[in-house]
Amino acid sequence: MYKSEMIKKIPQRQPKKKSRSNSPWMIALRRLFRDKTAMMGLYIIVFLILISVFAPIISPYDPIEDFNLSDAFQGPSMKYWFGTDWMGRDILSRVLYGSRISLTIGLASRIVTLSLGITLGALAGYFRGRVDMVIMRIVEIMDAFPNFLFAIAISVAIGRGLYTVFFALGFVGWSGMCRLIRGQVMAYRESEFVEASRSLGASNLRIIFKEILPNCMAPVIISTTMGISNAIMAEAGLSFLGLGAQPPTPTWGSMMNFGRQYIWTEPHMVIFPGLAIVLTVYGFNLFGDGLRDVLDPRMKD
Amino acid sequence: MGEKLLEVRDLKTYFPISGGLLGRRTKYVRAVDGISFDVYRGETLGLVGESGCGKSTTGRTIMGLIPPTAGEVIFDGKDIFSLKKREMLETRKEMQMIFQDPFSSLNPRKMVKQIIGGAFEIHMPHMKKPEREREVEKLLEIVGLNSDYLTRYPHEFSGGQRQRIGIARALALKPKLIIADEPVSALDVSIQSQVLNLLNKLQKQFSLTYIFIAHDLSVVRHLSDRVGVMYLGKVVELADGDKLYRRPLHPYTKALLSAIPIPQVGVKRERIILEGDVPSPISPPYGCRFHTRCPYCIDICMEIEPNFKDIGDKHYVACHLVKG
Repeated sequence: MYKSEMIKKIPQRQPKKKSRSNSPWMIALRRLFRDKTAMMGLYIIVFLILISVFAPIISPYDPIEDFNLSDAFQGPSMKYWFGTDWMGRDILSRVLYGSRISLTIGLASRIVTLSLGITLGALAGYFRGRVDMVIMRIVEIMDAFPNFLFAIAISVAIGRGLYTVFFALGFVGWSGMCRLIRGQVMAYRESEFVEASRSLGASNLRIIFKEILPNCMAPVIISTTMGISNAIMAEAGLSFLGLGAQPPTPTWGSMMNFGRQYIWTEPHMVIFPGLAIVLTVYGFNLFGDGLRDVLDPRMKD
Repeated sequence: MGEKLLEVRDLKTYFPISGGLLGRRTKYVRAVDGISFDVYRGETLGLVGESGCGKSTTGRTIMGLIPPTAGEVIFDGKDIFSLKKREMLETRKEMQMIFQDPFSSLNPRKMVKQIIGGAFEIHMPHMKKPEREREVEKLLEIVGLNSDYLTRYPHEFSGGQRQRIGIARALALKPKLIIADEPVSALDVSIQSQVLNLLNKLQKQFSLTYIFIAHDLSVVRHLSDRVGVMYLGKVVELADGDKLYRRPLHPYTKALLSAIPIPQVGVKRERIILEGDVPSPISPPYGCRFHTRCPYCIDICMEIEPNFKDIGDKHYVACHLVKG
């Protein structure tokens, strides 16, 4: 009697009503918001995105139309905060508009990289055998070229222009993504939850997309964030060489390219677009580092 | 004993070892090397053996997760290795597997309702979401979990609870045969018996047939009607559980059984300590595979492989010393 009453008194643990989602992604996100470095990076990225979206509103001048030869080569002043270039265009406005190109290139080239890398990497890692052989040989050939030279070669081959740069930079990066995905997929395809799914009768596609790939996303997100800053640097490099978006489109790289001739007398023409590149790359790298801390399984718990 | 649900005939599963620059297949790991047994409706067949003896490979080959090298598996009258893709999909519903490691057998990125409901998504694509969730809730209750756990993720559960989720997933399609690959060896001892009792209860409730793979003889004894002992890719002895435990005939079975501790102070049993290691399954010993470690080895054992023969009363042994 006494004993059974004792047992009854032990409160049954009720499943508590959850106000917060407990998915692994949400847990990582919450941790991310507590990570100061990552948040610093995120603020920079958000700041840049806002600038590029609202460039027409916040720019004091039009980056292309408002040229005034009598104001050429002016240093920073109250009228032109960042000075003017050789045509008398406002460098601040051009730097603000330039963020549009840089961010677009950064993101668009990642889309090319991700779609090629994930598809081919997943095929190679999942099916192994001959498919793997062929894909990995192509990847090795890709990796044998110095990336930047390869991007230049592609740009020259299919002609100058913005879309060429999207494609060239995306195409250069996919081999690394492919390796990354392949390794991840190979590790997970042997796991018991994949076997369980297979014994339920799941198709290969279902296993790849619903079981394996969601588990591979952490390193992909990290490498994509880091890749954006690489792509922005590479775009600046290509523009600097005159292969990117063509004048008069304002890009940071081409601004530096044209400013280079006047670097001794008018250094502001190079310094401001240069600082813009540094800030952008720094922001994405900070965010990428923070993401790695949050998502990398070896760091967990 | 009832009718046969599963017949395994001379099943072989070899894994090629690729060697050399061109990936020539020079050698094979003979994980399962010609085994035959029957499983009757409603019974539990225990498969025991040391690690590496091929018991898990046997289970996975029967499930069609690993392609067989030779032999046939007849399930419910159908030779499953010759089935077409569509027919195999149908047959899959009737046999399911419970996995050893409750941590790696559940996808960490999926909610419980997705893990268990996956079976319905695949086999009943027309089932509406609320209906699917109701089914999952039912299954959770059947395995003794709170039906509120639908939207939880695997990392929120303990090992025993995870294994229950794995069992619910296996039950989703109302299978006839469940292959349990060491379902409790990764669990705490206190949880083991809970899960074993659950398996027992489910067997009665849904008239399931089990193939129970384990290396723990006392666990197998608790659950199995018949027990098969495997050594190096072969079944060396197969008999009714009671008979096998009371009167083991194969020297290897004797050695295994003598290793079970007796839970009684002062009682000692004569232990048979086996010398050496299990030989490599790449080049198994000639003749009887056990002869390198057998305390009773005679000349014939080194030359001729013993037949797996019925010595009466459905007691099968592969040993030259046992006269049928």
